[in-house]
Amino acid sequence: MSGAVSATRAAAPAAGRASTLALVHADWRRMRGTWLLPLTVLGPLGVTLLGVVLFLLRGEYMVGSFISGEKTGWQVVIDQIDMVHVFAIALGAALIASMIVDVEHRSDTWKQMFGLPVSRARSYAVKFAWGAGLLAVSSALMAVGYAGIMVWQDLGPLPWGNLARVAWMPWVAVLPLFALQLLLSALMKNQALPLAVGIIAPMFGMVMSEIPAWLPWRLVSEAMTVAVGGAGAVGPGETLSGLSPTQIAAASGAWVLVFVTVGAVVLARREIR
Amino acid sequence: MLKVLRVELMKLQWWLVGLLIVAGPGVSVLLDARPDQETGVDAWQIAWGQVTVQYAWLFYPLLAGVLAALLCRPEHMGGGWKQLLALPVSRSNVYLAKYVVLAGVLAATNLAFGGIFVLTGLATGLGEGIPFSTIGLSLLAGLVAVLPLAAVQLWVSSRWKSFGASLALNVCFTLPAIFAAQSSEYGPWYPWAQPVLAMSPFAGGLGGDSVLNVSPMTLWVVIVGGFVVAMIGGLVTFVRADFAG
Repeated sequence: MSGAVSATRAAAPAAGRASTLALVHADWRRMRGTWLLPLTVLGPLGVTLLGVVLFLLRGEYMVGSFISGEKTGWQVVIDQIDMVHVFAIALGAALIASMIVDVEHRSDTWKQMFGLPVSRARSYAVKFAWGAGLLAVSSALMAVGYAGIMVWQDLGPLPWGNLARVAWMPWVAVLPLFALQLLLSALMKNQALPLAVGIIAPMFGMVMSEIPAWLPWRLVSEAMTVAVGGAGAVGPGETLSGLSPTQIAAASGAWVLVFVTVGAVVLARREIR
Repeated sequence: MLKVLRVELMKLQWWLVGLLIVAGPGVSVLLDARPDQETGVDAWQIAWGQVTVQYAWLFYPLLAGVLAALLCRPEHMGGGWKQLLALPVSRSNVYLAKYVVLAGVLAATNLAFGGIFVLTGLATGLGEGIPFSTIGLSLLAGLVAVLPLAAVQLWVSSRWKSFGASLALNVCFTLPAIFAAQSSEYGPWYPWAQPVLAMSPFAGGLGGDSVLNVSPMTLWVVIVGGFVVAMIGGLVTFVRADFAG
């Protein structure tokens, strides 16, 4: 079997390799039947519903600080939900990473897939792109959710700038975490360890400790702080490290490059049994 | 029963479990560790309050789910359920053995957490006056509070092959605990908020009569009641399930 596989692979380059677009299509077919797509929608929907429940429970108190002019409508909405948003997107990244490669682990399709004339590195990069795309959809829906709550509670004109920032900044910042989780999930057949690493992430978001802000686990809460508009995200006595959006994006890009390259190289060189 | 239990213990990947129960609590303690100026009993209490919030709010309940999925993994791989259940063992014993191991590992996790906390506290110079009774009670209460959640996770993990799916469910239930725990009205009723309420002196703030850091009502109705419901539900589902794959 393995002899036949390597023979096919050796013969492959001459026959021409599958185009990246074909890989994108193939991954789409694989994930259609899984929980990945529902999760992408249910995540932001769940966080938004949590916000709705909060407003139903103590809406008067929360909206009160808007009516008195103490807070803007945006601050009222984001004040409570930003922490859940950060945890949800970090945990979501771990879940998506695990589910996107678990398809291959469970049905042992790594071997079949790499027996075909397909570039391993490219198929890994396509999986990263898919996950990043799903996370982007989630983040955009989250911004829609915030806007929905603001309209429902009549919290003034929609702050388009803030909504845009809350859609893209936590997304950019979570990509390194996603890339790391994808690396772990792809390398290990047993998903217990990657997911355990994933559930540690919220603990980093909860403390404003001395861990460098540019580490993947801290980046998300840093980005959220910027998106919220500064003070709202920070409790009394805590200090902001104050990374600018550009710095966050740069740190994110660097991490992603490192993790995806490592993943692609390791996968390309690994012997698949 | 004992034989089934022994088999479960043999199947467990101890290196992985060991790593999880040391690394998770370790991170939660070390993230918060800083050389404090304050020493003595109060400093210990405050430090304990901080680390328990981080640990018990999300990590501990989520870990219960990961461990439950890990315990069912050998059987989900390549038709293991069929092989195991074709042997002369009762299905309910298999299920109970898995639950006992799960509870045991969760207890070990809490012990590791307490141990790492005390060692870190000594290393960062919190000094004399380790509040052993507070820590001990809190560790026990946290374990009791997490048991119903573990039963729910074993229920779904025994049916679902995917780690991701059972973790997704767990996350859905656990994230709202952040708000539930802050509410004195709804906090006592929400099962997923109980670990943090029971463990952290900051979260509970319960004055008068409490058993295991929660009110007697919460203990009996939410924790014990929830445990009974999840356990019976899981057992019935498991015993009647058709393991095709």
